[in-house]
Amino acid sequence: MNAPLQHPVLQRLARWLRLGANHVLVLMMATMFVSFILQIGFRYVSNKPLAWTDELCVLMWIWGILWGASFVMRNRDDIRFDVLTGHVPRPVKRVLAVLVSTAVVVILLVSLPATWSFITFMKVEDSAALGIRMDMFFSIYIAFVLAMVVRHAHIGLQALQNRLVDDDASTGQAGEEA
Amino acid sequence: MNFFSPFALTVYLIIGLSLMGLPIGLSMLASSIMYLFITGQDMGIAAEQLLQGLNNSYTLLAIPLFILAAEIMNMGSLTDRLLGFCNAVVGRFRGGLGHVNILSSLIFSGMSGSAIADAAGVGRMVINMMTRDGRYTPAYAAAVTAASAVIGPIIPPSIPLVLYGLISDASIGYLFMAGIVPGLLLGAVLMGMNAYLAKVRNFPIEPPVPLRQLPGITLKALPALMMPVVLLGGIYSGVMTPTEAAAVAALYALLVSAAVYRSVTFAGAYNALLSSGRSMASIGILISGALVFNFVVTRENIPMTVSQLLTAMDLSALSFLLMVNITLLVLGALLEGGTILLVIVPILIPTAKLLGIDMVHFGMVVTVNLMIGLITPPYGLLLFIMGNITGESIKRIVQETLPFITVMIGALLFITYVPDAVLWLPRLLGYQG
Repeated sequence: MNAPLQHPVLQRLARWLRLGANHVLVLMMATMFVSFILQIGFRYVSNKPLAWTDELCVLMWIWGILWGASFVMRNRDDIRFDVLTGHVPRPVKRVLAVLVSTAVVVILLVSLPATWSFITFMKVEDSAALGIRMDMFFSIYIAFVLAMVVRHAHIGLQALQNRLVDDDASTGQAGEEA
Repeated sequence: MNFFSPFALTVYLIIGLSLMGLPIGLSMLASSIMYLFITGQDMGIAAEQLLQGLNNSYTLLAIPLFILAAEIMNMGSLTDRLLGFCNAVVGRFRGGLGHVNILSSLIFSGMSGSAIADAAGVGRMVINMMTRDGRYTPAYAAAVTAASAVIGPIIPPSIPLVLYGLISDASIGYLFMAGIVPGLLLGAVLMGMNAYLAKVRNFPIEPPVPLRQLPGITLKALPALMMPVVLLGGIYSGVMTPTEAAAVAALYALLVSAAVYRSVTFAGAYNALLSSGRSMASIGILISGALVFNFVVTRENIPMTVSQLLTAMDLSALSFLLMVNITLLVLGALLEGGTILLVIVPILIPTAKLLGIDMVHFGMVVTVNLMIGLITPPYGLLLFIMGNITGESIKRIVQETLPFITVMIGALLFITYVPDAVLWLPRLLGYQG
C-alpha cells in the first residue's frame, strides 16, 4: 500500500517505522502471555491471586488488536470478501477503490468529534486494578480511526493515479521477509 | 418489512462495502456508524460499544493464546515428530498418507483450535509428503488436507466455540467436551472415504514402519501427544478456565519445544509472537465490527422479530434445525465463518431457545455447519488456502473435495438430529441439559 518512496532516507525511515511497529506488537503479545502465566502461577501455586494481571491482559488485547490493525497489518492480511473484486477489469477496480475509500474516510471523519468526546469523557473513570485513566486506556481507538482515515485516503488517491493495493502485494511480502 | 428503513440501508451498505473489497470488520463498523448518523443517535456509541465490548470479553483472550500455542508448535519440530508417529500407526494401509493426513489433523486439533492454522502448518507438510514422487495428485492431497482441517475447531480447543460461548452464554468447558464425539465422528467418515477411494483408485501402499520401532517413535512424540491431555485435563478438573488453559497450552508448547526438542530460537519466538499478534488483530477487527453492528441489531429488535416470524410459522425444533443447516451451509459457502457466527447466529439463538433446543447442542450444530462451509465452493476459505499452497486450480481441488463434503454433510445431519450423541459426554461430566 505504500507509495513508491523515491528518497532512500524516506525508504529507510518507512522500514524503521514498520519494524518498530512490529516490535511493539511482539512486546504486547509477550506481555499478555507472561501476565497470564503469572496470574495462573500466583493463583494456584502461591494461592495469592494477582489483581493487575487480568487488567493488563485486557489492555494488551485491546491495544494489540487496534495497534496491529493500524500499524502492522497490510491490507491483504484482512478478512475480506475478494471473490468479486478479483475478477473485474482494472478500471472498475479503480472506481470501486475510490468509492470505498471515500465512504470510509467520510464516515470516520464525520464520527470523529463524537468519538473524541466519548473517549475524553472516560477520563472520569479509572481502571480498577492498575488505576489507569480510562481515556488513556481507550485512546488507542483514536489512533486506529486516524490510521484508517490515512490508509484509505492513501488507497483512494493511489487508485486515482492508477495504482492499486493489490499491485504491490508481492513486493510487500519481500519487504517483510527482509 | 421496510426495505428502505435505516436498518435495511445499513445492511445494504455492509454488503456493498464488503463486496467492493473493504475488510468485513471495517465494513460493519463504518455502516453501523452511518446507522447512528441517519437515526440521529450519538456516533460516539460506536466507539463505546467497541471498546466496552472488547473490555468485557475476557474469555476471548483465549483466542490469541490458542493461536500462539499453534504458532509455537509449528515453529518447533513437534510437528515432525507427530507426523512420524501418525505415519507409523496408519501409514501402512492402502492410501496410507491420506490416513496420516486425517489422523494428524485429529491430533493437532487437540492443540490449535483453528482450521486455518492446521491447514497452513501441519497440512503443508503432509501435502509435501503426499505429492513427493507423484504418488498422489496435488489436488487430492489438497482435498484431504482441507477436509481434515475442518475437524480442528470442532475438537477442543476451538476458537469458534469460544466465540459461540460468548454470544450464547453456554459454558465453554461443556462446549469443548461436546466437540469430542462429533470431531471423532468426522475423522472416522473421512478415513472411511479415503479408504474407499484408495481401493477404487488403487492408491499406493507405503513400506510399513516396522512395529518394533513403534514404541520408540511414540516415546519421541509423547510430550507432544500429551498436550491435549494437559489442556483438557486442566479445564475439566476445574484447575483452569479455558482462557487460562490456552495460556498454559502455549507455555507447554514452548517448554516442550525448548527443553525436549531443543528447537526454539529467538527469531522463531519473535515470529511466532508477531504472527499470532497479526492473527489476533485480524480476528479482533472482525469481532469489533460485529460488536458495533450487534448493537444496531439489538436496537432494532431483530432477534425478537425473527423469533416471532419463525414461531408464527409454527416450526418444530427439527424443522428449525434443518432450516439452520441449510441456511448456514449456503451462507458458509459465501461468507467467512466468524462473520456468520458473530452476526447471524445471535439472531437465531432466541428462536432456538424458545423451541427448547439445547444451547450446547445448537453450538455444535452451528460450528460443524460453519466449518463445512470452509470447504464448500465457491467461497470456502480453505479451498483458496490449499490452492495457494499446492498451486493447483481451485476447480480441480473442488472436484476432489466433493466426496469428502458429502460424507461430512451426512455426519452433520447425524449430529443435528441425534443430540444425545453430542450431549452424552458433557452430561457424563455433570452438564444439566
